[in-house]
Amino acid sequence: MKKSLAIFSLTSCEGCQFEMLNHYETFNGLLKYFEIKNFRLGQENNFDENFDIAIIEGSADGEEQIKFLKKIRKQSKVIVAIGACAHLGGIQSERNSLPQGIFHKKPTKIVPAVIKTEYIIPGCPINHAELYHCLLDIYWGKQFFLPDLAVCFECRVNENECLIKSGKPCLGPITRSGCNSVCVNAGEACLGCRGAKPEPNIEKLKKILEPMIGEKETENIMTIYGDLTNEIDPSAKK
Amino acid sequence: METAVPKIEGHAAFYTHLKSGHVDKARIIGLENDRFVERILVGRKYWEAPIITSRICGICPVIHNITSTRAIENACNIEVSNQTILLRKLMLAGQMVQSHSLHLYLLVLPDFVGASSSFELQRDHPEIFQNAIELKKYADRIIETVGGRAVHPVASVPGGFKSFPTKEKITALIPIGQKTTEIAETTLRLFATFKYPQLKREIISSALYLDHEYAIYNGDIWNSKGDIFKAEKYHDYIYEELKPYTRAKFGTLKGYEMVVGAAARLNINGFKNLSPKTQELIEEFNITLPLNNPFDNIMAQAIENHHFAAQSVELLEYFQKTGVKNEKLVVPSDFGKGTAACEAPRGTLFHYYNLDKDGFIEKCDIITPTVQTLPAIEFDLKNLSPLLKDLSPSERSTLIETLIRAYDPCITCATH
Repeated sequence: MKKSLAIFSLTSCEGCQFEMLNHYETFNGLLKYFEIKNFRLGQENNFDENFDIAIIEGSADGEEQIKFLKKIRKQSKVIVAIGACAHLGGIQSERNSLPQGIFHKKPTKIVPAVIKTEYIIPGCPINHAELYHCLLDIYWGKQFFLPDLAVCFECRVNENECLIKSGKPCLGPITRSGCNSVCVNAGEACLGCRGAKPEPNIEKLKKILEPMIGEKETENIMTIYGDLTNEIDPSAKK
Repeated sequence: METAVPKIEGHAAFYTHLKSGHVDKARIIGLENDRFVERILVGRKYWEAPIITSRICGICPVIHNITSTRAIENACNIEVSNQTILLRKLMLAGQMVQSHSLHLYLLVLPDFVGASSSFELQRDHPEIFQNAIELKKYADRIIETVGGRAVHPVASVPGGFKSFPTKEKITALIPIGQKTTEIAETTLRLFATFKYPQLKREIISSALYLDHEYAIYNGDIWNSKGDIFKAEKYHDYIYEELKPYTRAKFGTLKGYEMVVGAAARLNINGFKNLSPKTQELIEEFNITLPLNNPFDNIMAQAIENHHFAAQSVELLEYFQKTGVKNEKLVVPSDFGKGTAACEAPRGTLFHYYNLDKDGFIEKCDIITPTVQTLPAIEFDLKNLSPLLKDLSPSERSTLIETLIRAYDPCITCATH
């Protein structure tokens, strides 16, 4: 029996959907298990009905999108929120921390803050393999878990040189692994797009980074993708 | 609420009002929410700009990354090495193939072969669909090899690259590239056989132009009204306005609706700098300039798709010969104002930054290609009247959607 799947997008760059399409062959393998009932980016005939699984990308901006999210919640058995926008707020959530009145707009909301969310796939963009893993686990009735080690773990496996040791800022020590340390592999610092790992020592890392780049920049790089400390286990937050 | 047009990047709806067989009013409405990217950059360090602006769009992150990087470099007065420029051009070629092939095959093609989705296309025409996958996969691999990741690349930063592809990786890509160029030829042949709706009109094209190459990385902006201007002067020529009914801005060339993107680039640059094989194919199909039917944009994308596939192989072969040196980043020391314009798959993209003395961003302005295209789409929805006359309501919406899709708008870019 195929399960029905819907893919929706709120305020975001739609990069996570493209990350899914970028690995089209694997995406295709999913069609053995799922029937895609709603996917505006990829198909014309979309249905407004009940779904087994709804994948939601992006953060909720404004009443319309919040209403839309609540509707999807009623229609779906399982909600999988994908990407840093849905998980942490994304780049657009910077405005939540600015003084009121600069924008005539309410703060943008993460998906778990609006509706009960069963699973979150973090990352900007997501790691497509992680999402497919999660979907198949749901299909077979298994519990899906995200890795809870720091990015540093994967970074060592990949034999990268430690950026912090060489005096450069990096958020690897507090960030949840699962991305195969893709940024550090390419020479860039980890900027925490996957959110904090369980029990992160953020204060300690701040103390290490501030002498390197100053207080202001430390604050900046910790907020690129939104609030890093957002809980990954949505049941804890409701 | 209006239903969003399926199979375009971002959410947009259209509204047309028919009065005795004529489209009386036409509107294209961006439903995406604005993210105020230009504002959230203020107060952040210069190097964060390419990282954050590439998140404007999930389909064309590379071009946002590179345009932003170039604007920052202009603001810091730094010159990058020839190798850096060539690596960027390689990434851009990959970006073009990636975006064009995705648009052509997954979004446009179903309209012309009578499939409602790419999944149906895959079921009914598996051989055509396989081509799409090969093209896309090759383009992704180029961006991944040079940039570190296919969506939102990480290695390309102001001053150069943070990591470099190995010779083995580059050599491994060449045979795939050659095969992909053949597939791009098949693609061009396929798209040349379709019958496109005829909607001829005078159009104003605008694109980057260079004498000696098909300009996408740098150059002056030329348009078919005869204006030539540098990127820094974009505010004197491109007027942005807000409409009450949409969150996307509308950009015009001093009030005239213009066309940017693949067709406009070919109209401005001509065929002379395309790769020789692409020129042969153009001759074979007897394609002539100007391309003044909005549906010609589809054909133009197929032409560019072939050109950039061929160009990427040339660049890969160059790097195979010379190897890629591990170059140190050029670190900026003084900061000021900088602008850059590059050709995104959908048209000219402008980035402007004003940095303070410590390198923090004080002001930022971004004009995306779709902003410049939206007025033309509205204009052409009206021009579509004669073709809509004898159609049933559902056929009408299909034709209108096909037109909007031909323009390849990206609403997430337009409402950054």
